[in-house]
Amino acid sequence: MTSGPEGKVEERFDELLAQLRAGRPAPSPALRERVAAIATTESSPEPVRRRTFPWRRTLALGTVSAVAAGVVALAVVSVDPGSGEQPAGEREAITLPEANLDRSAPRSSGQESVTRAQKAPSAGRAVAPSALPPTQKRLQDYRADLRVQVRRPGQVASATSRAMRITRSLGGYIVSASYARARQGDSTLVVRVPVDKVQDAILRFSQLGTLLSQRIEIQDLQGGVNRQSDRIAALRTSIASVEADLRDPELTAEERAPLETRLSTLRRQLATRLEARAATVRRGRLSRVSLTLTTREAAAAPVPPAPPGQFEETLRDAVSVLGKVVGWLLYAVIVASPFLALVLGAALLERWRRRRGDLALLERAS
Amino acid sequence: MSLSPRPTLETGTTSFAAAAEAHLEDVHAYLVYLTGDRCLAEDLTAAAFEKALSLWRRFDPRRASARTWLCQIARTVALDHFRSEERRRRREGVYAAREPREEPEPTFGQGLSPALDEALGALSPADREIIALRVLLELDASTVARLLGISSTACTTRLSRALHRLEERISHDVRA
Repeated sequence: MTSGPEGKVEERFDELLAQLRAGRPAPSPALRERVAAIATTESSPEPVRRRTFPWRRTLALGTVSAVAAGVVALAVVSVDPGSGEQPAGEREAITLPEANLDRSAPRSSGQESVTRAQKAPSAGRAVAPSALPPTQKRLQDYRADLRVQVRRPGQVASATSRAMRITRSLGGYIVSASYARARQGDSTLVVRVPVDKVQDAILRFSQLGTLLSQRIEIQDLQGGVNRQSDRIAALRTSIASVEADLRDPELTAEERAPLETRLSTLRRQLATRLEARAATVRRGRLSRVSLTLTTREAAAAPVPPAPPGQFEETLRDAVSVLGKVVGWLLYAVIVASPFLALVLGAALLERWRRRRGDLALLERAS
Repeated sequence: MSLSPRPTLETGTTSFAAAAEAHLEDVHAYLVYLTGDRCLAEDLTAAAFEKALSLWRRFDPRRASARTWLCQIARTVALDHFRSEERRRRREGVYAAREPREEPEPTFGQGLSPALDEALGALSPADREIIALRVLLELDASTVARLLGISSTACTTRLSRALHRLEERISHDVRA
């Protein structure tokens, strides 16, 4: 006999099936009346046509939409915001921006830091020398970095020598000098010049060739010096007090010993403070200028990326939040999966047991 | 031979009365085969329709036809009856062991030969159930598989075995 899911039954059963169908039991008139009575006497409400939500279709559509949205968002976010806004060739035509002033240090601390940077945006374009003037009334840490281009490699050495001479003529000194004799050798010179002559130094250094870039940093030191002076005054007062105590002739040896120890400690602290203040004052009187002499043209200044727009920022935030949510969901799924598997297994086992029970019941009920 | 499904009244907008009238014979025949007792089948048929009436609001024609739905209810009613009967027999086991139980003469149809009727009675309710659903009600294999909670292949295999056993019983009775 061949039988498959399509319901094919061997032909030799045809007669048997026909007999079974012919002898199909019919309900008695009493049962018909009974069922008719059930169906008609009691009010039979119409089946509620519940609107079934197409879960599978919605889930598939939602998944595809979410993946597409994610891909689009990633594509938008990964695009360089600066690209496409302006061709590289047009960037060179940009006029030199005004010098940036970056005030970062808090004023309340008594220290003010000012940075002024000016760079050539492209090769061969010179920067006009302009130095922030130091304040004469306050001590400042004045630092300048200059990059000057000379025409030929052979001019680097002579320009370095001239820079040294300029430094000495202004009352300064050479901190360090580095010169590499090569085809395209660079020379780096770090000098200290009095603050009141730093503007003159910057101007003369920039005349050694073409000024490619300059960076000036000014940090206020007066607040720190004032605090050091206050501390020194306090230490001197303490020392005077201890010395007065020690001059008392009635002091015993036991009482004198700790006072002398304290006095020596205070004197050490005073010496340290005085030395620190002197160093700070020296730093404020002499500016530090770093001069780089080179034959190479300045590399094109990188154009800072344009700040992200509001839409892009929102998109980035959304992607970030989405990533976190997906991460948490994955975490939850990983943690819950063993329990879900157990529950699923138990449900399947219960279903299998119930069906087996039904079948066994039908087998026994004969 | 192919067991193709018989066209039935598929309720899209039908009332319960119309569904009951259309499928009473099917439900009754199914229960006669399942129980092997015409009187009991009539009682269970009435009980099944009472239960169906109370559940009619939940009937969804998109998930199953009214006939399949009614047969499903009839099966649940019959299984509940078998369970309660089994519990009762277990409870009264001692008495039942002393007093021989009067088993009703199984009669499955008016036009059946005595040998076929007797052979059907010798089959298990599970075998008769599959014959009733697939042969008498002419439900397709996938519908019966869903109703019984088994696979279509298992459904066809079960029908094949049931028919084999029925044939064996008939030939055995004839030889006897």
